[in-house]
Amino acid sequence: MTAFLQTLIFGLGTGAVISVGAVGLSLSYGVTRFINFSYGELLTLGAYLAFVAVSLGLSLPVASLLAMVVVGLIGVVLARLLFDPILHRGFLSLLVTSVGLAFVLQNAVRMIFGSSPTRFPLPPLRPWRIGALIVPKVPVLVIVIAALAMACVHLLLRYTRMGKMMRATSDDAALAKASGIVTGRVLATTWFLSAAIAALGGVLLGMTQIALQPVMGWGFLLVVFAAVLLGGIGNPYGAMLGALIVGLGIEFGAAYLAPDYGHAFAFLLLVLVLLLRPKGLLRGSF
Amino acid sequence: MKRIVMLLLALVSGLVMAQGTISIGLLLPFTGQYDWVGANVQPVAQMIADDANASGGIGGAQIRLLQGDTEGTVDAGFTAAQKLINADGVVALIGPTSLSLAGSQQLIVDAKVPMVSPTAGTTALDSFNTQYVFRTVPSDSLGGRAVARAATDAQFLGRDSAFKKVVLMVANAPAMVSFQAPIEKSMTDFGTPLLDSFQFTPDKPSYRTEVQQALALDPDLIVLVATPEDSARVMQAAFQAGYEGTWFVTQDQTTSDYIALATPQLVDGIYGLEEVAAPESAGLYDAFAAQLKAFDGKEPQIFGTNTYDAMNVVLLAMVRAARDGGEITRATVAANIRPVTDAGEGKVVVHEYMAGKAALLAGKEIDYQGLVGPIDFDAFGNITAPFAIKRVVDGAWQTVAIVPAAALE
Repeated sequence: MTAFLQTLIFGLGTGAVISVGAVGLSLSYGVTRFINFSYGELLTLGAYLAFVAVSLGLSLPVASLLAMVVVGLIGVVLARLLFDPILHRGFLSLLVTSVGLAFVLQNAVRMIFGSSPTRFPLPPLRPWRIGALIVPKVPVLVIVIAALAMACVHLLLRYTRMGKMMRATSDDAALAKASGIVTGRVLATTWFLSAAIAALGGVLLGMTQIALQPVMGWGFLLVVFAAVLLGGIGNPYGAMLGALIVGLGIEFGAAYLAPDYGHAFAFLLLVLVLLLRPKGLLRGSF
Repeated sequence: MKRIVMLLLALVSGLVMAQGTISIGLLLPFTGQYDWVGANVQPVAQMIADDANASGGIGGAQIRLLQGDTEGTVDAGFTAAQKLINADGVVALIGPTSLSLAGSQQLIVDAKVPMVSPTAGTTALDSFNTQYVFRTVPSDSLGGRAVARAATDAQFLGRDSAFKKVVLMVANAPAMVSFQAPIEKSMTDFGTPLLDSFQFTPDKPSYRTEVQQALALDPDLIVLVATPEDSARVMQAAFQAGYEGTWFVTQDQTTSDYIALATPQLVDGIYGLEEVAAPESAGLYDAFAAQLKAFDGKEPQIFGTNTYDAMNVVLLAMVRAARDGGEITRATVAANIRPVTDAGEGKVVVHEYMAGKAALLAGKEIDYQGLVGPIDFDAFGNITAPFAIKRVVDGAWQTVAIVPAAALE
């Protein structure tokens, strides 16, 4: 029972990290309709910038917020320079550009920070002990932070004017524009939010993986894609649900079937769901 | 026609240049995760090569070091070995590491190139070849035995009692797996069989399941053989799962970099294994360290002493091959390695290149004894050497005890 509860906690924790990454990707896809392969590098940037900010004396929460803002702005600048001018050129141009940007960002991180792993600035935390049950603190912390972040995203999308405009643009960009929505502003806000959430995802990933490496975001991207596809591409709520399922699949698969194939079970789940519901669990829009 | 003439001229000038140089290949990782190995070896090798060149070279030729970047992988190791052996025509190799050995060892032997590795501890070399393969680093068989010896004998731990409940976790990579069998066997030999011994997949983002497997047996010591990154993740996972026992790690982790990576809180009190210079070489080590500091501005790093010995062995073998007008070829270098390192009646004991060269050119025979130890190769080119047992105290590695080679028999 203890082992089951621990695996459940870790599964929720893993799902929480994935959900933050997946929501950001879903937000940008929902509005722009293209999958940004450089998204993983924004996770990496977020983790490294938080590390730098802590090295300069800031606390981790403040450093994380700062990293989110900075990466958000970087996301907007990169999108304005590289993606917005070619949005009309079709899927392939955007895809190749995003892959190229991913390599540039990854190597920029490698050039600045080196290839050797760097420790994420989170002190080791002993678990809580509740009777015979050992409850690790880091995944609980990650779950709480991710839940707060998802709540903020929900409040933004449901109750703010910008959120409504984002939903309208996601549903039908042409109609939204004809209705007077400044889609350029919506796009910029979406890029900012997507990148900022990615940065938060990077911080949470750093908390769970400990060692920061230039390839950490790229390696995590596949799992994020799985969650996004499972939940229904372009739907942030679907991404949250998909992330939870993927996270639990990874941890339970590793704990009860084979430790080396946790990711394989998650993708098996993805394939099974897509066979039954090709568009994912939820409809692909906000 | 003009093009053919130019080509011939280039070929001839290349040959003329080549006649004035002797190429030695550094078959090591210079990029990738293990680039620090090449970075540690290169300056020591270059320092000794420069000394040799400054004293007139060997047989009238200058020593030239050529890099073959193995990237720490089997495939790149094969390509790099091919380049050094076939394209560059090196007469000897320094390297490779255990990581890339599988890709190049047969090529090296088939091409009859003498290799002296200062880094490859893999047990795959324990009985691989009797003519061309040598190493100035003790086998992991000995390293694993040293771990077991220390874990089961309190005198090497600096505490009142030895460990009784030991689990072994080994990353499933060529350089790591080599330790598993020696540790398993040695723990049994020394009276404390392992509770469990298992391999795990390297480079995973999480090792919670593997840690749970180890902790289920309530060990008081976990011996961990893995990369620094994986070791930090395993230790973190165990810490978060409530493990309060001790760890024993290997040379890759017995560095200040690892303490910074894993954090002092996580590694406080852990034990580590490190190859060390023989105690009788203490004065020689100080001189080597001072020389390297003057040359490169840095203290010797891991494999520094092993490289010093490897380069001296190769260069002294060349000197012996070239005296009395002999040719320096792969065959003559290989044939002269044992004559300059084996002990024997009437031989002059030397500890560095210049003294060895002087003795050889004076017509004497030498017994090179290095920083690592006597450098007496067995039939398969292996050496014995002492190990240091270290422990993290107040955020730094400190030597607790030395396990002499004799204690590992």
